[in-house]
Amino acid sequence: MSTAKLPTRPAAGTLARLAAVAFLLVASLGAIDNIGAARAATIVIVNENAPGVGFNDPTPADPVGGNPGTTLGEQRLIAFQHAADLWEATLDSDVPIRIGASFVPLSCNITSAVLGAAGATEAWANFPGAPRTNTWYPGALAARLAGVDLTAPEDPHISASFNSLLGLTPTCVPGLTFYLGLDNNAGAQIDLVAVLLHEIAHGLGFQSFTSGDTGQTLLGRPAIWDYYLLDNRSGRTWAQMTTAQRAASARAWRGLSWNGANVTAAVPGALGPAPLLSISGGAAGDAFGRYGVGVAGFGTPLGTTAVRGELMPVVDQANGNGLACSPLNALNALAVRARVALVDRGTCDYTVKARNVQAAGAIGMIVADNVAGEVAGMPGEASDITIPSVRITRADGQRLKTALQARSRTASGVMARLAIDPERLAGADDQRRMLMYSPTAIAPGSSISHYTTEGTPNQLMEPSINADLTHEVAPPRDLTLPLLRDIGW
Amino acid sequence: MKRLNIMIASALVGAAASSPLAAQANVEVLDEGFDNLAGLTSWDRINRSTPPGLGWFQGNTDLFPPQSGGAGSYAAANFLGAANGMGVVDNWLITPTLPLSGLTTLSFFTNREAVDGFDDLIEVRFSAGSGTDASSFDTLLATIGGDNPFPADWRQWSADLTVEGEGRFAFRYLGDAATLSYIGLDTVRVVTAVPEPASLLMLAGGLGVLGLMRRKVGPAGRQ
Repeated sequence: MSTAKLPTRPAAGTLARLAAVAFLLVASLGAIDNIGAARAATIVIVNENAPGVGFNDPTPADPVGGNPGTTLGEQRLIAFQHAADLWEATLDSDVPIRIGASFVPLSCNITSAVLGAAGATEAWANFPGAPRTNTWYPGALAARLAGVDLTAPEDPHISASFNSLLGLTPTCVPGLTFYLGLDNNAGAQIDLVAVLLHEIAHGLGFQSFTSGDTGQTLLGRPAIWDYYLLDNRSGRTWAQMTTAQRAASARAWRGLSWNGANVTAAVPGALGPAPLLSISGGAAGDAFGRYGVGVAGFGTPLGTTAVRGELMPVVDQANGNGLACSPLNALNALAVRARVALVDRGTCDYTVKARNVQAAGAIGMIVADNVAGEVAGMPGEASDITIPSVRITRADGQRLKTALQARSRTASGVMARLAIDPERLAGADDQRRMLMYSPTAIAPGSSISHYTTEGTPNQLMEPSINADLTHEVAPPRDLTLPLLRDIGW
Repeated sequence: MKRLNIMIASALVGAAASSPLAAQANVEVLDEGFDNLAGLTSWDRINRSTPPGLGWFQGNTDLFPPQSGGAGSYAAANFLGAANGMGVVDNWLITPTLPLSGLTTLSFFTNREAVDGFDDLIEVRFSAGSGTDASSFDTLLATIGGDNPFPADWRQWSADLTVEGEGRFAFRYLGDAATLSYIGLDTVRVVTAVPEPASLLMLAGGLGVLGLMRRKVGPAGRQ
């Protein structure tokens, strides 16, 4: 029997609305006692905040969304208990699960923040009842499988931290605060219960112990995670691959899938059809083809009836970009009227852009990312926006802009078609296995340990918290529990 | 037939005009339909816009089809000649150096996007010799657009001039980018007269614009 103790510091991710997982290193030993029968799990929250801060913050607070707490600290703790209750009702374990938790300052800036970070504090291998030998299991799961607590009583199984500054200081996304209600009615705020559910799942085992950056396993031994993490191009799991192959696989966008029976069985019921942008037309040239897109939380969802029109760019910046953050001038309005508008991400909310191109007569909007990376969705709510919008990568945006060079003021010869693809599921590979998050540039704390950002509807275990999340962790709405089932819960 | 902007470039008109045309043999020294603009290595595309952006490019059939030839087989220029469509366009397409001898006729077709509110403009210029310096193209043969509306369909234009020696023609798309949209150029032909020995002496010595720009309604669409 061997263990590895994992540090509890949060990951240094900076993605907007990011809920990151932190983990790794330092070995320690545990002990085993007797094995008992499974029953509903018990989760014990260990408040690790000092008096006066975090969960003990005495700032008065009005009850909100079913949360009766009268101080900020009380409300945070009540929300945490609510999330723990939801997981307790979902899992079976004879061994109480201890979560050491605190609200502390985490990485953030004026536009983005790490919302939380969590992970197992220990990994265990070769304990009695371990389904696989020489394989790491997170402490809470190992205890469940062993039927006895392997972790020292004074230690938590899971360590979790949450951003105490979010929206509360001028330098930490001012105005974007945690919603502390329990009713899943966060509006434009960040739903803390959803964040808590997400982070608890990481601690339960929704995380890789093998480094995505280097491909190295923890102390030379694969984790249970690695038996299900599948390179869908080679057909090998991470447990079957070399260190170098794993490192390459971690950077293969859409190249990593989850090959667990529970998740795969639930995928068709959980995911909707994939959104699709098709580019055609005599002037499309190298831009001809199908594009993966991120969908918008606002506007008309894509459907089987396609929105099709000539693609024309908005250009309102000296560098050729089009932000569409203000009403379109006459030339841009002429360009996009009755056509699909191509704009650039940045400076203002997606809804502002959509509202402006819609007011100019556009029938759809494509937003090209302004930083390198893979496709992601577009959060936002706006009941007045009726046109569909999708988001593409910066590289794809550049391809389209190149094709649009041979245009006039009102025509480009490049046709855009926005629809759903009935043959594919949003967030699944061609074999209908759930895709994992594997951006081409490793996102520390996020790569590999999350589902893809392309899930529709958005999944709890995507790297970012999205506004359409419910508090469900099980099918048909959510695929978190099936993955935990796959690894042994 | 309408007379367009005419410039008399030298004093040799009289000599040329008095030359016995019957004593000449017409030779076509250029017939370009722009099937592959990028492959025209002996043509020059020089963008003198501020700031420079997109040069002349292969035509976009979805905006309008070529005057003749296959899909996209015409040369096009647009408001993006100035980078990102912001600035002043001064975008040149220059023929190969041509051996010219006596009475010479340049003909070509133009078209533009049929949308109101823009003032597309092309100058057609000639330069003796083989250079590409803008200042050497000091003979303005015609201006299409400007005071006269730029026709929004394929129109044929031609210019006669008398010239002895090498020379190049230039198509210059220009103007404030905000006023421009998209134009096309197709079927550029140059026919020059090879004089009989008896007329050589009369034509020697330089350049004269003999004729005039004229335009004819060309066949719509493909031929």
